[in-house]
Amino acid sequence: MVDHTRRRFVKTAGAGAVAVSLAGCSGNGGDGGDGSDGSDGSDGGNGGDDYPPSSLTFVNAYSEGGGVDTNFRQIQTYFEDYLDANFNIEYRSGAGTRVAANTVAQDEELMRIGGTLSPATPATIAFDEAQDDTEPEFTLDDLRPLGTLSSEAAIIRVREDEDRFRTIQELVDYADENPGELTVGASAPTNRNMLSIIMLMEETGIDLTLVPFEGGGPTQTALLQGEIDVAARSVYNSASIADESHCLCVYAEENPEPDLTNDAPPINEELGTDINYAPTAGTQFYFVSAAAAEEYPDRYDHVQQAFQSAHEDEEYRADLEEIGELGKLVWNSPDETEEILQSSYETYQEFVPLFEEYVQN
Amino acid sequence: MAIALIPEALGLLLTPQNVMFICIGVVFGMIAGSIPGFTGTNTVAIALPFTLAMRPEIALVFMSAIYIGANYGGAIPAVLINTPGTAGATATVLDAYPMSQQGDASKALGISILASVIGGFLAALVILFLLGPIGEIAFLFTNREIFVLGLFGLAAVAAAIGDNVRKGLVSGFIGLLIAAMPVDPTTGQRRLDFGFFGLYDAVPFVPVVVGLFAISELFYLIDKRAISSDTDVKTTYRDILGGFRYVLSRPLSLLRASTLGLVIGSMPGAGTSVANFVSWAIAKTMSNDPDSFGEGNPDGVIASEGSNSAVTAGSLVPTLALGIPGSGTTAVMLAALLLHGIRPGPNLMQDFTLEANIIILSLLVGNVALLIFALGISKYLVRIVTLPTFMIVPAILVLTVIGSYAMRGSMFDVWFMFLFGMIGFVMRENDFSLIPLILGVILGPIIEGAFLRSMLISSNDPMYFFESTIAIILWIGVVFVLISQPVFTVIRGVLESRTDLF
Repeated sequence: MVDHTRRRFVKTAGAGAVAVSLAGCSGNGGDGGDGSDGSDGSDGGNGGDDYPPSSLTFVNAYSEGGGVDTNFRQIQTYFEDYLDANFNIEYRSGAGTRVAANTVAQDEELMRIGGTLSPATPATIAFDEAQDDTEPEFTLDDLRPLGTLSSEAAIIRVREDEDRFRTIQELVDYADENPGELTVGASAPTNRNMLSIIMLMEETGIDLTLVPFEGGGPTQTALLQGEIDVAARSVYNSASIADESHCLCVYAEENPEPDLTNDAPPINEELGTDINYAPTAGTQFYFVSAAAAEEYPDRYDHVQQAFQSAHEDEEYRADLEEIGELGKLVWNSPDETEEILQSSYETYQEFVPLFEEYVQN
Repeated sequence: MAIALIPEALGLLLTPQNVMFICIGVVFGMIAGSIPGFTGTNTVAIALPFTLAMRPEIALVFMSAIYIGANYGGAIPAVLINTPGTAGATATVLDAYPMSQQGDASKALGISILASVIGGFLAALVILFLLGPIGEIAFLFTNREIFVLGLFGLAAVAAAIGDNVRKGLVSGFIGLLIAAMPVDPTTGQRRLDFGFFGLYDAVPFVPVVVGLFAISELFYLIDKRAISSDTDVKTTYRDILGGFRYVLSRPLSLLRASTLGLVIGSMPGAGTSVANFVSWAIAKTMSNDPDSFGEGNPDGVIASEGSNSAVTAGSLVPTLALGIPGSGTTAVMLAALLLHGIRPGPNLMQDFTLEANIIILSLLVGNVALLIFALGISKYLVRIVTLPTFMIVPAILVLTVIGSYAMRGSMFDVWFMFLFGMIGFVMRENDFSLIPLILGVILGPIIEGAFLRSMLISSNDPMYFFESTIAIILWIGVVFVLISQPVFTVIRGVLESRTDLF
């Protein structure tokens, strides 16, 4: 099975890597202009054309080596096989996923597939709308999901040798007795991990000092260094410090990965709170331009089916099981994904004032 | 490090297949690194699809070789066309390009090659035996220490600028202001991006550097016949080997640069862009002839190249020992490790001792390969400086546009580069040094983020910055570099006046 995978890699990696190198130089091939300048060469119709071309572009909203990159690398060969095309990869990190989302939204020919996270992308729209002088460059109506790839619940980690609290209840009690003393790190000032802590503070009335970092890696480093007391992380993206840290709780109805999280309980179950888990979960999803999907419904169907088939592929799942990450796979149809995005957007509209209160003041 | 496993690791490493991958990786990295804007991170990311099909140890050897090649590749355009290929080669420009203009391009390349090779080799050798202890020291650098280290970098360069402190400070403050344009790192609130998403969360570093150095240089080049004033410059191996001999005659300079690169590279959050400047500034401060730095002093090239290649090995320390990437490139390597089922972190030395040995030993072999290939192509590369400017100026222009665009695939970055080209030209015409401005842009976000987080953690207690031994040592360093030059100037003046009396 592994050999089979490797053969496919060898078959596709050559073309893929050359294409990636060109993508690195050529970037987006012209904003909005890719393929629209006659590269369609097709009838522009509904799938009876030459689609897909030999390569499509995967626009990653985050940087090299991150979670979206790693997940895409894992599914890439399977996706390519079902799609019958190779992928160039563009890293369009920046502006809180706005750059990548906007790049894909402007694609007129369905040559680009975006990879990003919810609630990050829908949240940017809510944040931009909340600012008087910022007009969002795109809305959810401009994006058409292909489905979800994975989802991971938020968790709270402390150091393994932490002896002041070993449960979330003990942490809350400690914070209650020592307001403002505990420092809690999250990977950005206005993301879902920060939100998970704000919701805990809202529900319990405790006072924690919030410390935003630039990424999950630095947050974990600060925890292990003893610079902060608590880290707001997620199940899989904190797996590298599972042995050196202790997980206190998960933001999910049930613990999806007990081995990685010390079999920690759901936070509501432990504290009797009523925290809404949905906006704290990180859902990776792939999407295309809504306008292109509407213009070329057969192209959209082809890409969507290829993604779904890759997601369901037995070998792909066996690969993930081998490295202990099968639990992160979550499938939602395009319509279900759209509902998730809409829900995240509406939730963040409500939470914008909370961020202003807890982080920006 | 389990020394007993070194022979076994070497046996696995030195197979014809692995040596071939090392050679391919080094050459591939060198070519990609020589394109301005094409970073080591891009290059290693490109290679990732290939490596997934390989056995884990071969994949890691290949990626390490690319990393080494890309790191050196950045020096090639720095020497020849006043454009750092990577951020780590920014300080290399300061002395290497003036050397090229003076007809010493071969020597400058020779110095950059051997300083890179020895710097990288020494650093790899050190971490082969001291990975654990170095990781523990690097682990002590929290935001507080990173903040003071950033201040130290700024102070060291400010002191090294020399002639006009006022203009140096103005330039540095402009750099810091530019760095403060994106969102506040601890609140996420937008600041001075003027509605451009290209400035939303970071000022793009490559267009700033390429614009300031390369584009502004084009204004001067169009008035010349060639980059080098000596158009009969001979591109012989003798001159390149002359550069080698110069490096070998400066063992202490090289050791200092390598040590700095290794230490700074080991710290999560720091990297080549910090190391090469700090190393250059310290070399200038400690030199008997500080005024010649920035004017074509070969010691400046040693300081920059010796340190940035050592960062390659240094940045692997937190990656392997802690599971924390020390740079963007090692972040990609970390992803590759995880994809191959190797989980870096404190248990790496117990669970994957052999693999760790192979990775580090591959750095040693990779540096030997770099020496061979860099030497092989340098003789032909240096001829660039003798090409007529009607050929070289358009070529540089195209290269810089591609480089600025490549980083993020954004035309905004290309216009940003031209803007900074004009700013650089105006500054140079008015004798403002570009170095403090660039340093402000590079260190600004690091210093600001570390300062704000430290203030949050300490509940706004400024004494927090003096509560660790490392921070105190760094503060002493800051004070020393700021007062040493004025004090030495006063002492020298007193001694000279007394000498005159007799």
